[in-house]
Amino acid sequence: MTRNRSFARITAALLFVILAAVPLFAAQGKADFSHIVAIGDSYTAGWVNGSLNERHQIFSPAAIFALQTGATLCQPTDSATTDCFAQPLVTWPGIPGELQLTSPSLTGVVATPYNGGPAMSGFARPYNNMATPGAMLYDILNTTGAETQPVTFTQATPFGLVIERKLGSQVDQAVAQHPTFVLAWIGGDDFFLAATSGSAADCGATAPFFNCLTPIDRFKTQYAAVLDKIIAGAPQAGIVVGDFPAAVFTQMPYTALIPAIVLDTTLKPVLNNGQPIPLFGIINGAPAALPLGSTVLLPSATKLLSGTGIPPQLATLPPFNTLPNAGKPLADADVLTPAEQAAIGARITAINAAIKEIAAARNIPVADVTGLFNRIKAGQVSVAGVPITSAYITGGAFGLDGNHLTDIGYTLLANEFIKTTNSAYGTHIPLAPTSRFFQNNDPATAEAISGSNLLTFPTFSPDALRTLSFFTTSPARHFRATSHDETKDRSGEIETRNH
Amino acid sequence: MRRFRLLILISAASLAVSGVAYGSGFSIFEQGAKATAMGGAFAATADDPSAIFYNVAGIAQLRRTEVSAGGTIINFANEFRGDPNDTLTSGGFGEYKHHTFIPPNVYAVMPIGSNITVGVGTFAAYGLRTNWDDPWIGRFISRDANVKTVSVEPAIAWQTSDGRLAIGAGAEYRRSHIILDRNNPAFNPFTQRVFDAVNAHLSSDWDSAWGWNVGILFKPSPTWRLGASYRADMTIDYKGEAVFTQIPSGNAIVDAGVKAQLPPGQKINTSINYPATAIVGLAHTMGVWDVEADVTHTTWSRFKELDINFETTPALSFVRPQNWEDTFSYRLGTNGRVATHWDVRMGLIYDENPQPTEGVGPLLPDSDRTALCFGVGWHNGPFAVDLAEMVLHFKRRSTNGLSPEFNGTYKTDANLIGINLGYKF
Repeated sequence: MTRNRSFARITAALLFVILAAVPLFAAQGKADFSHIVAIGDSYTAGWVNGSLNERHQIFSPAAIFALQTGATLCQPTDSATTDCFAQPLVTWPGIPGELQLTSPSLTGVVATPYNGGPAMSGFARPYNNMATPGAMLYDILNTTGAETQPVTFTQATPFGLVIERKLGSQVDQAVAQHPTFVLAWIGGDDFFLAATSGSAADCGATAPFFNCLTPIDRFKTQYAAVLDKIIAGAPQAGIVVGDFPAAVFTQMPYTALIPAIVLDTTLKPVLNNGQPIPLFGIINGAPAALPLGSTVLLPSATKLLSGTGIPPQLATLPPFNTLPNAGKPLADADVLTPAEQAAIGARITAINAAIKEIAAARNIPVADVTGLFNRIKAGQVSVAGVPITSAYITGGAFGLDGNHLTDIGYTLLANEFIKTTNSAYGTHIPLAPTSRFFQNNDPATAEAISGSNLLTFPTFSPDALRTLSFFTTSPARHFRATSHDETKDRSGEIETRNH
Repeated sequence: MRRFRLLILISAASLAVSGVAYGSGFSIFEQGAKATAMGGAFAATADDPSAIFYNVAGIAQLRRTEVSAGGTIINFANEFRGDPNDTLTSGGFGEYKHHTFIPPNVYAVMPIGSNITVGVGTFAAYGLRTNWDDPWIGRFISRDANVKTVSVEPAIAWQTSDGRLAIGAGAEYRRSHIILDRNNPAFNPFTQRVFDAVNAHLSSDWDSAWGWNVGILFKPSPTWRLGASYRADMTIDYKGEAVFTQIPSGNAIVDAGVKAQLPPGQKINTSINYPATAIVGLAHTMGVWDVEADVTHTTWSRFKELDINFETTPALSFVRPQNWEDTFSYRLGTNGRVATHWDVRMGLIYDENPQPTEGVGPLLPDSDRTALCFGVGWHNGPFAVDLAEMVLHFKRRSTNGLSPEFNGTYKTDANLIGINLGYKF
């Protein structure tokens, strides 16, 4: 009897523990991926090689995430009632025309000299992927595409018309879809647009907010406002957010590739008494030698080719005296100084702390994007043994614009969100395989794949299917060489090339 | 001015066929249809010419000149499924190209005087082929691995006049040939895809070594038999050739970059430490039924590393740790003399694998095995025909996320059919 009674007591105690534990697990729950919605910026949109286009949108982090949960991607011919993951597909070569590599040099990176156009502008429901290039938190909350007087970078681009289509802001359209799961890697352009414009200035109290850092208090308010709108509108929806790499400008070719010192033709520093010679540029409104540790932004490299930034004292000496602009200073916006880097880094650190705090208060998991960028920088990422690094052109992680990822990079990024989701929600989404990005040029492989293996990929629109030729045949791409100086394609100049 | 050097990153190490080597799977214990039907539990029986392989002392029992020739028809069915938590292999699938392997065996024995028997046998005690079917996402680790061996063994055995004790010894001359083939990838900055840059094909000559083996067979009573045999370890030093073949990428600039780094075809060398095998068996006769249980111990721990040296480009040389472990296999067999000319047989096998989890890969995904065997024997006058069927199941083997390069689960099944024809003079 005694034994039975103690057995009963133990059982009761165990039951209590189990019952008490259930709510904890239930809070994690199983996520429902039947209607995924993504909000965010160019990264989540699938911006590759300075362009938003269908060939890469099919590998956007949002699309990859959705595919891995079992969704299919909408084709342009699909109707609003089709059960598919809709994205604002833009026909190749995209908006703006995609950068392509024509020869293995900096000047070999050229933009396709014409644009594509929206392929699904009449799609009769909001897109599942609402992510809009350039979107700051302000845009996610406010921009609808109806703005006539742009006050943000995004509003100055056509992307509001292409993606929001005057149907409401990103977050409003996200909520209106009754999402079951929301991918919300947001807030990046609250520092990224400044960093890639050579600026670390805070945004003012009132609009406009071009190329500036969002003050941290406003960031917190807006970030929480986006999440709270989702929670209020879709209380059952799972949500995942992500942090930002605080050292991102040392990890992106765009801001890390070119040191602001005099380089020779092989990109080796020219030394004077053993010391590198600083370039010459505008700091705080006046020309001066740029402090060591400054970097020249990638699109400004063409200025260096003509001699801009060569210090006046060298400008008359050979070989610099043959360069037409030797002795002229680089603009403030061409350069990221150590002080600017430090200010931006500190802001990102503060942003990450805010994201963790705001997300934790709402029981939302935070994907470790910082970890991914650090591993890429440290050479710890590979595909089939091939190192995927942050090197420009050849590294594999960053595209030809130098500040966005490649399809491979976005797959790795999507996998960070999948891992975090699995871990937080107890789900088992398989990681997206990088083996998708084997070119499969070996004849035996190509022959084995031809035809049938396409079935393992979701159905894509005709233009996107052309991309899949990479998977099926040896590519015979013909690049249009152009004298048009398009290496200056940086996000801030999109509108100038969009007709 | 600022030209970027286009560096197609083909790391030196990746050009070599690195990758893990072979497995317990590359020992072949099926060297006679009667023994195979009995699950290889044959060391204490050893009453046909295949005793040269299983327990050389057994040939002393054979008091007529005999020949036996046969083969084992081996068919594999296997599949690989990628690990959903591996960013390379997730969702991936692979299987072997279909091959039927028929390692042959031929034995001849001849008694000399009343106590001694001499014999010679040829068999293939080791062999492996993992040849993955295209398209194969693991082709950058291994596309084809092929190990062939063939042994010739002269043997001699002596028994006491009452036949209760026999001892024997053999000298094994083993020849072997290895092929390793894989592709080497690189990043194509024009397509931003990982492409097949170079095929590396490593092929050895037929190289050889000598080994030895001994056996003992003891019959304490008319119904009990005890057998033990030992086949010594061997090391074969291989010489061979590496051939690097560029695979066109479709882009002339990329191809020029690869070509500039393509190493020359060159001599290579390696050596493989083959294990020693010790067998102990106990057999008992109950009426028309013989039952035997054997334990086999294989010193796979000799296989510590795979070390391939490139003679022209030493930078390509690599050492790859294997860290295999010794293994036991357990075998149970029975033979029933159920009719005048007919025997029926059954066997069961449990065979441990030597391979640590982190070493499981496309070159050899080994696993613990279980097998169920059946067979019949027909003998009439000088003629004997033995048939065996073995259903071999490999336990599903997962890398459990421990592989540094290629995680997933391997599932293998095999079917073996043994046939031997014998004639007594």
